[in-house]
Parts: sequence; C-alpha cells; structure tokens
Amino acid sequence: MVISIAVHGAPYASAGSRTALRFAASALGLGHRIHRVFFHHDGVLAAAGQGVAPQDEEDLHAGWVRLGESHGVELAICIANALKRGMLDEAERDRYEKDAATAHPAFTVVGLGQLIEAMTESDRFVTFAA
Amino acid sequence: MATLHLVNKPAAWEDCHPLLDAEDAVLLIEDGTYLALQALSGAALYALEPDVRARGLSQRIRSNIQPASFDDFVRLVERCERVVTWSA
Repeated sequence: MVISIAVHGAPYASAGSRTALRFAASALGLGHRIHRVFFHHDGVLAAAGQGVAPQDEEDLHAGWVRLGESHGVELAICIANALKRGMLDEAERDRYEKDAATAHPAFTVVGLGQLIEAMTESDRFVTFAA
Repeated sequence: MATLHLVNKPAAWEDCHPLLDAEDAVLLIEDGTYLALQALSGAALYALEPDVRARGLSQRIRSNIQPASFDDFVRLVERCERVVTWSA
C-alpha cells in the first residue's frame, strides 16, 4: 500500500513529529511504501540542519533524514511555511540573498500542489496534528 | 471499517464523537490517550500503547479500549478506507 503523511507540529514542541516518525518506520517495516512526508506549519522545523540534540534525547531531525535517505522517502517542506520560519534550501538562500541554507538537503522545498499530489497518488493519507 | 479517527487531545473527542459510525475505529494517541480513562463509545476504540505507558495509564484504561502498537496503528490504516485527524 502507498501511504503519505503530513506533519503539522514542530519537533519537540509537539508530539506529532515523533509519532509520525514511529508510524512511518512501522509502515515501512510492514512492507508499505511511503510516497511523501509533507511538513506543514511548524512541522517544517524538522528540516533544521543546524540543530544539535542533547545526547540523552532523541534527535528527530536525524531520524527523519535517516528515514529519507535509507528508504527513499521524499521529505517535503511547505515553501510558504518554511520561508517565514527561516527554513531555506540552497535555491531559496540564493533567491533571497540570505547568509545560509538552513534546511538539510534531504528535505525539498515544495508548494501545496505536492500536498494534493501526495493525497491523490497514495492509497492512504495520514495527518499528524500539532 | 470505514474511517479511522485519530484523536491526539482530550478536547478533540467532543468534535469527533457525534460523527462516528458504528463500523469506524478511533485511535487515541499522544495526550488523547487520557480519554482512555473515561467511558467512551460509538466505534471500535484503541489507544496507542507506548503513549498510554508514557503517561502511566496502563493499569487504568477502560476495558472496552484495546491497546495498539505502532504496527497495529498501521494495520488500522490498512483496514480503514480513510483516516481523519481530530485536534482541538
């Protein structure tokens, strides 16, 4: 089965990012394919590539990057939500002439069309609220 | 089963409850698992077990609410045609 996921809450502030990551890992383990994880609202902060998690806490950002890189899961951050929260990839950094790209390259900056596409191309769509 | 309802906060139950069909399933997750202490009805009821345990509720959840692992969560998503997320 093809599943896509939306994450609305910020890592650490909301439990949703952690719950979504656990759900995705179980779904992959049971043989499903995750087509896209769409990070929306404060959820885009999961892309923060410069964050350093304390040693005794789970690193959610690293968990998402691992999921994306090891299972070919597309990690998509909503452009409108990302830009106003300072989550920029290389292209947006160049466009707005900012000092640094803050989003990890495992994440892609996308528009809302990719949210709709994820819904139409997946058998199930699961939203994790803030 | 038709619809899986995800409830992640206790206050979301009031919105969700009137719209439940008998063949639906409700999965209580995160702080929504505190609802497992109350008398709920209207659909098949599940509570995400790691979240129940993290809140110290394991011995106190109502007998009509079934503990669910993350694998069970995935199986509920398989069985239901759609997933609706409620958040207050």
